[in-house]
Amino acid sequence: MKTKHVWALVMPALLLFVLIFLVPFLLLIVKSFQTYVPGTLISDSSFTWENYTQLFSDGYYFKIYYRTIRIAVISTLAVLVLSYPLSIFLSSMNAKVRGVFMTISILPMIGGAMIQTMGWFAMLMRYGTINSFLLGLHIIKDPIQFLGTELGVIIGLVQSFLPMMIYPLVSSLLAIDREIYDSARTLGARPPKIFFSVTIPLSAPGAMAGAILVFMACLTSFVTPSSLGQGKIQVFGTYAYQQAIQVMNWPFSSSYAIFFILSMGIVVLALNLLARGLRRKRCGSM
Amino acid sequence: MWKHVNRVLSWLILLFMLAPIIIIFLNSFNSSRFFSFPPDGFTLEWYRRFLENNEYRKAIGISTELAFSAVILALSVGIPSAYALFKWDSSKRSILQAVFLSPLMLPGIVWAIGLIQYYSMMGLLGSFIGLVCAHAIIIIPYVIRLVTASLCYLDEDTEHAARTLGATPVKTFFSVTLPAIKPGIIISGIFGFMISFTDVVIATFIAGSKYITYPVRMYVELRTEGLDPLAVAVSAAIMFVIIIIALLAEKSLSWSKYL
Amino acid sequence: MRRVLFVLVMLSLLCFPLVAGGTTEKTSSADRIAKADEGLDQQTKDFLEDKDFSNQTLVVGVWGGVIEDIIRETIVPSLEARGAKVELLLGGTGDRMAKIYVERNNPTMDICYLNLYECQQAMNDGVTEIPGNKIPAYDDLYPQAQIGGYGMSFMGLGIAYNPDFFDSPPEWKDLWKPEYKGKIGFPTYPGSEGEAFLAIAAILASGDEYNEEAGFQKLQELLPAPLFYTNLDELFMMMTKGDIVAAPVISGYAWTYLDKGMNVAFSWPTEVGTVKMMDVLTIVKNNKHPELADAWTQLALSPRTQKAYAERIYFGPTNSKVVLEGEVAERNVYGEKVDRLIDLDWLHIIDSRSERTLRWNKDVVEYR
Repeated sequence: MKTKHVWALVMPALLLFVLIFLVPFLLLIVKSFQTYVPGTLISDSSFTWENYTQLFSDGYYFKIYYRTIRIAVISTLAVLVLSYPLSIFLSSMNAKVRGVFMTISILPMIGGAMIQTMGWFAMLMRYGTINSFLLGLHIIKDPIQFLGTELGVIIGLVQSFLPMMIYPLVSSLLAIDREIYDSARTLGARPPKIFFSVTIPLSAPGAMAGAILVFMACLTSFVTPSSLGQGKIQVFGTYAYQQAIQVMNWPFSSSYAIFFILSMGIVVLALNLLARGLRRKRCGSM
Repeated sequence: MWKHVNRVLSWLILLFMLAPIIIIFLNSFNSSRFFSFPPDGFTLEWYRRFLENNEYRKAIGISTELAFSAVILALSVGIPSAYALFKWDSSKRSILQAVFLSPLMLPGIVWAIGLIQYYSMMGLLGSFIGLVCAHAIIIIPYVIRLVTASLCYLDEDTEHAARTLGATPVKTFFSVTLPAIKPGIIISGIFGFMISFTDVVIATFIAGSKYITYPVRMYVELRTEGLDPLAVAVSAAIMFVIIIIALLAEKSLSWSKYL
Repeated sequence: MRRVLFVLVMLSLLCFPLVAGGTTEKTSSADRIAKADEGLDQQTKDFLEDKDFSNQTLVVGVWGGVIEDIIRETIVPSLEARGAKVELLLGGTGDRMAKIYVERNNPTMDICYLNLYECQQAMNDGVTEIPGNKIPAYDDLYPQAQIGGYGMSFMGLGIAYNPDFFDSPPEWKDLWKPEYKGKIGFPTYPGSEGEAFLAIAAILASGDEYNEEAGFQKLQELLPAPLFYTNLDELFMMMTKGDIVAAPVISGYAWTYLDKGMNVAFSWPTEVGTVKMMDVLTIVKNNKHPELADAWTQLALSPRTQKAYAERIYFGPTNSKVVLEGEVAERNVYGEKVDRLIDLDWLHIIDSRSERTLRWNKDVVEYR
């Protein structure tokens, strides 16, 4: 296909991106070099590096940064681990039943962060469903504190973003040729062996695609950490919100976000290259 | 044996995934004003109040309209781009791909701050078209990624054969390529719909008084009144409609077989 | 065929909320005005006399929830009866501040409700109008409500507590008793409650509202905090169960939850004092419908609306003509309580908010 045609196909999306995404983003870059005037949104347009130097003057920002990545990594790994058994189960069903189950398992996404968070709130509260249940069965003596802890946030994130992983994973599991399993079994491989040497390598592209989606969703999540973290778990999204909406320090929140995006860009680019490598292996034609 | 272990695990994971939704359903019938477990008693009061609350219905209508428009816009510009990126075997591809995926990285809040200023400059603040464009931007990454992923399984030989047999590129696209990428389109359409329908952050910033979406309303009520039982009932009702639509879609289109 | 059916079902589900509109009643406009103005005071009736707002749409930025209900019942009908349309832009104060600043050359919002703590800044920046007696009710406002805009309702930041743990209503210093360590609920920062709590701690420790160093150290003595509350349901639930014994809370909220059956009580501290909190109605500068905006303001400040606030959510009247009795009077900032409220230097607080937020995050939220 000629390059000219490719450009024509990309053009509408690119135009939309430039107009709606790039220009506001450029505005943010401009803002990030302006001076904050406390209490107002009218920032002083004289040029300053202060917003950026502030980022490096205090270890607190790195703490948030580190915590954000840690929570995202743990959540993504947990999603990965939880999604395999379910995806294998789903891919072993006949098409009709699977359809229904796939539909059910996407509900956490369709329902949206608001509804999920409300539900978790009710369950994870000090006297919520889970604690009442465990107390009633005399498994625990004192209620477990879920809300306001990283554990609570991770539980919420994992549940919300599981479907993002299950969908690509099931599609790549289904693409695996059944005969490979049969021959592996014929050769006497036990299920765990088959799982590690056949299932995982062959489903890696799907898992990778899902993992990138989940990872990025976790990094930029806001509703879940702010409600389940109860202001105690500051991550990137909650801190940006605090600076931008509550303190209304637009110049600083702009520089904070730009710094975050630049450093994240490196991580994601690496993940993308990795995913591309995996895809190449899977479909040699690319 | 392994099969049974896996089955039990899978059911537990499913329960975990659906737990918040189940709780919302149960609580929507709870006669207590607060979340409580076990429930205090059974009531339909909150549903009755929902039916009386015109504001909620209006908001749901706006959300639906918005989500549909945004998905259609995102698909119509996203599919050609994904196809082009797939065909384009060069280093430019990864750059363009990074551009299209960037909304996933940039927190909506921060972008929204840029957007509100930009929209107010352009006179788009509070307009429906402004909301649609903004939501399309956050849906496009999913379209690109999922359509590209399903293009990976496209049999290029068939495509090539069609071209050799004299089919025009457009015809080849519609008769060979499009059916192959259908799963990607459908999944990203669903993802996109729910992203737009449930978005709080961007809509709070740029939605004018005319277009208050359902999540924004819910967010407002939650922030001012705590966990309002009315919001719980509305959420449960919406969840119910969504489940019905999803199962209907499965039954009449059986889209999952394309996965 | 199945697909067609499916599409039809989808469409009908979508259309349901759209077509479910209201019905219009065919009554004469005079009747409608009379009905909408029932219970309105003479001053407001005179102000609105012969006003016709046909083809005008007023945009009002305000909080949702019960406040919205009250507004829709007490202010909107009188304006709609005179031909106006009203659009409520619901949301938090932060969103609204952002909007009016960004749109300051070409505002789309006419009326903007703010908190005491940001309204003076907005007025000084020329984003909102300086209040004045072009609104007749302005002269009836308590002087404490004539700051930064038109004071809408008074509240006090005092102490909500679980009565099982206290023999008498606690004072601020009682929160620092050793037996309550780790059981005091914290507000969040930035926010009126958080700033006020910090100021109280500073005054207790050093007698100086501006001494934030002393304030932060004093607050640390209360940690660990069982909760930084954003959600009142949860705060009062934990208070009822005894996980939190007391917390600095705005008066109206505590009473509302007492009505909802929670085991809470509210104390108006007298040592150091109860901190003044206020919702403020501001008219956006250069708005498109000045006459209609004035009418809204007059209606909002009129005793009819103010009384509804006081009775339903215990947001105290700023209009000195409003008369409250019995329990409602006790629970509201009303009468002599108005003069006893202490006011903070909100302009200074806003100036230091950025640094203080960082300190709060590091020294309070993440304090180990």
